[in-house]
Amino acid sequence: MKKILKFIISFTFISFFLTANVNAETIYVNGYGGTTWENITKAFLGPLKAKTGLDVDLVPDPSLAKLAAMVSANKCDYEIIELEGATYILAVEKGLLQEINYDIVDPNNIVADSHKKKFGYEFVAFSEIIAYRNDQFPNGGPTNMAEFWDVEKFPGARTMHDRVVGSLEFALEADGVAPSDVYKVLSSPGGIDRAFKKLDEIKPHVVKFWSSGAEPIQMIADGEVAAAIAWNGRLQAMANEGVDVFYTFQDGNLDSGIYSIPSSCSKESADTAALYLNAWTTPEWAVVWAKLMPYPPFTGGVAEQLDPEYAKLLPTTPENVAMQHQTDWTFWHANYESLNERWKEWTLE
Amino acid sequence: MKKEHLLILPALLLTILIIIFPIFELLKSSFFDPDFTLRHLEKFFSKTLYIEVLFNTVKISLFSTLFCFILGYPSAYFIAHSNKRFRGYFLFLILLPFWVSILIRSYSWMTVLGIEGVINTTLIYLGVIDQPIRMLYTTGTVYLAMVQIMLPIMILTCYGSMLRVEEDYVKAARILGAGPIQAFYKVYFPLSFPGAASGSIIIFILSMGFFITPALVGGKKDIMIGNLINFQINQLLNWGFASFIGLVLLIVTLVIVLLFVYLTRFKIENRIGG
Repeated sequence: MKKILKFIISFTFISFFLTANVNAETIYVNGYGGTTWENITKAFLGPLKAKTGLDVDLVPDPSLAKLAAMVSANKCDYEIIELEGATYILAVEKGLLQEINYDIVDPNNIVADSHKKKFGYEFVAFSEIIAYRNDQFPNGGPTNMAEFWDVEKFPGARTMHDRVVGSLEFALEADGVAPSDVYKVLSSPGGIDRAFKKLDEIKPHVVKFWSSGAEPIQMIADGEVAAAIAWNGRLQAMANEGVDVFYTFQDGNLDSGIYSIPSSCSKESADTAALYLNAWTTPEWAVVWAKLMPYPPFTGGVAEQLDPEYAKLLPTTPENVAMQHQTDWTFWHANYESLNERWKEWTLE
Repeated sequence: MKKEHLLILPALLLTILIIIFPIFELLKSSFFDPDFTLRHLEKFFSKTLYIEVLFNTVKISLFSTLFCFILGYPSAYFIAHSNKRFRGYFLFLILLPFWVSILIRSYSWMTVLGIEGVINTTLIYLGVIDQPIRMLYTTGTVYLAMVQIMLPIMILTCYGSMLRVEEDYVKAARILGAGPIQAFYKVYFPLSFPGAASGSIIIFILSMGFFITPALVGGKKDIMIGNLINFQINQLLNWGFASFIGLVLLIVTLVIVLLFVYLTRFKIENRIGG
């Protein structure tokens, strides 16, 4: 017994010193865990370690509030945080992020400039789209927003994201506005009222506004709703598991995930973190990722290497992009809080 | 001062450090953001949203507490008056759900109450109904899930005070001519009430801060004030306003709890006196 104890103690000490030693070679990413991180590990972290010796570890569940607290304490608990459009703009405004060194991230300049923001790299694309289980509509179900709204022709409960961003756009699309024109209408006088008025029509049929991405998937699988708005990656994962689910990118909402570096991190650690971002721009690795997850990165040369049948399932395939609207964060940033309040008030009405 | 009084010091210091000091900070940032301002107050009361959600939160918390009492008090009575040998076993059963995470408990309701869930499938199979009933995503489910989570608290506090009730008093009341109902109502209930009261206060306070469970199993309108605070903190970094909502929540909770304590003490004393 004593021997075992001795062994455990010495082992703990040794491993402690070992990890302490390589600490300089580890960076931390504040991102989402689960399947996403498993696939990031498979596609990027293994090859990255082999190439640069860099270890990357996950700090789960990104939180803007924790980032703000960390920066104000001038600490650097993680070198990279995953943000979305709204939280990115706010973080930039509050000075929580530092500029990204694209000489390291994209030395060969293969990513379009529009995805290389000053304080954040748009590393993946995803979409919120219409979906349903095929057995709910034996003769075919809704294939665009107008039909998603049409409960006469396609009866049954609905679920939508509990989020004003996207929902107003969907309502306008249901009201006959082309995906490319939604922000023109929303910015024009009466546009927002028009969207809310259209939302009134679907509201009695929405049994639930979901807040976490797993919920609509569960609701489709369990038959709680006939049709849902859900994330494309989760829908595909559901299809892979054998659920007979239909989804379409028509009138969907295309958006992207953003990687940023906290302003409280040193220049050296930021440059080390940039190596991880560089992994995402490496086409060979990005292809592996895109095959595992239908959330493709914006690296040039990836789409060409994918099977055309599979490419149809990706939100960034040109035909799919043409069917969707892309979140206009400039519009949303200007209206974020007031429209969020109006959205909550509207759900309570 | 006696030496024993020093024993309270560590707990007192800890309380000041982790409760009094943060509450003071909360108060401060509600009105100093960074200079003195009433804008959070104006915003809170100028929108119907915050008041309506606050009202909803109070309503859900009060009813959850009431349901816990209705279910918990008789269960505690049953355990307190059952054979001593089985009591430990019953208490163990009651504590069992505490070891399962709240998230999992909330999710487990979905498999029971869903359109294709256990209840609906059974009822359809038995021919009681032919169309599934929607039970999930309603305010009813919110109560169900919240009561399930809080019920053990009520049972344990009631059980504790029931064990301390002198059965001889009840016997005395019966000998002096009180019927079983009267003896319970006039003697047993007031004596065991402190447990029910402390259980109710704990459950009410906990319910006021709930938001994940109602968001998971509730319907469109089951928004709790905790959701709005969470949104202000995590999505808007508007900590001043979040503090202000938190402050209002704190005040409303305190007022209701104090009111409850005042009213029940009055009633109980009256009852014992009469």
